[in-house]
Amino acid sequence: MSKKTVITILSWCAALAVALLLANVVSFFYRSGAGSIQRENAYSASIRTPNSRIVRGAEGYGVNAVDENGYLNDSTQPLKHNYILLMGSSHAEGLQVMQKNTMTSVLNRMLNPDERTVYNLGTAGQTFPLIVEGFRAAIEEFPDAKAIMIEVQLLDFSQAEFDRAMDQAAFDPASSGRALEQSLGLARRLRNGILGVLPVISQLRQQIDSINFSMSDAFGIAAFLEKNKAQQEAQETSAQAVESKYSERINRAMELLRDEFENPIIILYHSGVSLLGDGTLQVNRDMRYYDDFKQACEANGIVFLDAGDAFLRAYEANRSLPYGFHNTTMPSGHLNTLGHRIVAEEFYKAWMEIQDKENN
Amino acid sequence: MSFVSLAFVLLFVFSYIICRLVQTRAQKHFVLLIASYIFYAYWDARFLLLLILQTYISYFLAKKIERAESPKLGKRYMLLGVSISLGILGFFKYFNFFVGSFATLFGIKSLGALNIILPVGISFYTFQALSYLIDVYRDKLKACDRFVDLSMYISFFPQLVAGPIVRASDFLPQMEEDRPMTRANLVEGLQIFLFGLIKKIVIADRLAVCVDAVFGSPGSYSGLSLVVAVVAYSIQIYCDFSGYSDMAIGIAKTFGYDLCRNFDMPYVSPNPTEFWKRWHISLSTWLRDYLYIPLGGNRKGKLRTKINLMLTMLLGGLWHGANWQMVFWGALHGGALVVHKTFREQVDAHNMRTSSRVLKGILTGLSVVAMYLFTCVCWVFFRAQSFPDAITILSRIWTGAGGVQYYYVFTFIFAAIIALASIIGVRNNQGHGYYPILNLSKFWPKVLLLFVILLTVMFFYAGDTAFIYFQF
Repeated sequence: MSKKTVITILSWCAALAVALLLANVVSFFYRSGAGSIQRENAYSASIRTPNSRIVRGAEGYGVNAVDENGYLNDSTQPLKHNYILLMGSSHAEGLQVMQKNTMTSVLNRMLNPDERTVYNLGTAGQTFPLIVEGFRAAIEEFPDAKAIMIEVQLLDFSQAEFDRAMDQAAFDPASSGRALEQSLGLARRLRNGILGVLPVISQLRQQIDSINFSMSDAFGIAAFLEKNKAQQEAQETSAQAVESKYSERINRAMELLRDEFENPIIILYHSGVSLLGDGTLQVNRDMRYYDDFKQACEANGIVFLDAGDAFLRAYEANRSLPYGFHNTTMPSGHLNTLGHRIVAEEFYKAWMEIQDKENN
Repeated sequence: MSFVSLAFVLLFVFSYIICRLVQTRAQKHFVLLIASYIFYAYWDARFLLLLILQTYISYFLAKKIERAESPKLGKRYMLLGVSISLGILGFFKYFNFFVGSFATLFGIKSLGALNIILPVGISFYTFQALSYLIDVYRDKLKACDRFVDLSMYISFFPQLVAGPIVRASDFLPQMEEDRPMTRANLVEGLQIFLFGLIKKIVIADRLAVCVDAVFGSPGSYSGLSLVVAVVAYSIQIYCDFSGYSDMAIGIAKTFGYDLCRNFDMPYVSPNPTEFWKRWHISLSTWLRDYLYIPLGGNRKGKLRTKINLMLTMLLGGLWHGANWQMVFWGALHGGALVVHKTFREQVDAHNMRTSSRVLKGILTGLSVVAMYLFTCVCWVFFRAQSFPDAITILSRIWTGAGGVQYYYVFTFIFAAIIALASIIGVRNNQGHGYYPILNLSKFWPKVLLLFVILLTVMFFYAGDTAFIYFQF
């Protein structure tokens, strides 16, 4: 290899390093922090890297703190001894809004501005079946909960999900955030350290993953695989034993929640909404399951809330929408600041009613 | 096959390598022809036959025109070729439109509609084939001896499906020359391609998110939000279409061919005449040379000139899509051209030109803003899902109606970038755009190029958004 070639290669490598550093600075403000740690025998299958900070700017913009357990909580104020656990999906987790605007923070300020009453267990991808599946483990990990609030957006509950959910695992203390962090090997710590100071790597990886999908899709491979998977699933489903009805499944799931936890449980359902051509807002409740889900809650002494009417009131008052951001679309995606506030208010009202009843 | 796919990357790399390896021009043309046919067949192999048929008709009739014993016979062959080409285009693109409009006009309940799939790029390659036939008839061009050469011109994959509409008189002579595929061409071509790619996947596709949402439900959004969405669309369509043109120009460059510039900072135009010299240049010049001038151009008096302008723009609107909204969009631009022409005539007649540079500058600035606003109003009719929707958007903007407040952040970011780029173009290149080609033998240009590539990967829109002009 000639000297000129070597110099050219070195020059390109140096240029790439400088460009990566510049891109990395951008990444720090756009998408950085907190990968996830996988675990078993616990409420959720993964937690965020404990004691870290997350910045996310792709949908809304949020800077959030991760506590020692791997959940998004602002630990600047002490947590009450008897706290309320807030379970839910990425909506409850609240990565898309600033920490002070998450439903957990809003609810905490409403209940008592001087201390934390609500502890956020919101986890991306934790749909209702997964919440049920990890319910016992959550109560064992957080035994001092005096109430549980659950945020759900999807009411589906398949037979397979039901079968998994009914098989409740006990909490393994080795799966706590603290224990997992301490047990991390050197290689993993090093990896986390590198990803922490070079967030550009995660961002590029995430984008390239989506390119891979698009490209395989361009050849029709993705569609082909999807078709095969769907056929296989259909065959497996037909080969399985006779499924129970949704109403039975959801009722047994609610019974399980009730049996596992004797204190108040509040489930808030917030369906998606859409803007119609004539300017009205439509609440897209999933009517396939809605009545059965609601009845199952009521039959088991679980408070069922529906944020849909509150969403409509907010829209009629000043054309405000609960979902969507100025850097994505309205009204789709995750709950925005208003959505978090509405959900928090609905939880608050229900909790106050429960308190009033208990006091009387 | 879209430019933004792995399939295209592979096609490009393989055809580039093979073209570098082959020994003769004819072999290179053959390789590019096969690549172009693969590129086109990737959408729908059935329509490849249509493309080949269209090419063969042009090839055959051009030969006939050239060998015709009398000009009259040559004209007949030319008219036959034009009729067949327009007939094919008319059937695939306009059949249902005309039948539907006829039924509506005469109050007939239903004449039925055919389930016709529009072959991608038909409007573009038909116009290329027409330019070839007419240029041969006008003696501006010799008829191609080899079918492969004409096929490669009409189906050359960089510009096949969304332009620029390359003239036979511009491209065929290049094919007769030795066009070396140099390293410099490759570097420059890929940079131009990257420039277009950024316009498409970073800017246009991101803005589509806002535009699709707001134009899908215009009655819900506030007047100001609608303004932001209309501005977003003006940037989206510019970056989408000019981005595709840049990619096409870049790819052609790597193979040693120069395609004509298709956009030249259209939003700095101070009047409609200037706008159409800067927007979709290959179409506007095609319409000028093959429609406006044959209609008489400006040679038959003032009134006839204006009628010709109006007719040209109406057909230009119809070229963009088989619906009355597009015709209306063309009529708006045609009307603006007529008004501007009349205005210029009055200015000249009354010697109203100012000599003050400051006043001239202010007037030009105001004209640019006014022209941009007019263009945006026209885009509303172009993009809205229906006439009533377009009226809703404009009336809500006009009345400052309340509604959902949605100010898409990227609209402001990209508007600032386009404005800055326009200012640079105005200052550095006498009001014209240019490709920012970097000298990669130096260190910092390398850093800049790699930084831009990294930012593109970090911020491209991962959703699936087709090029807007594919539908035309």
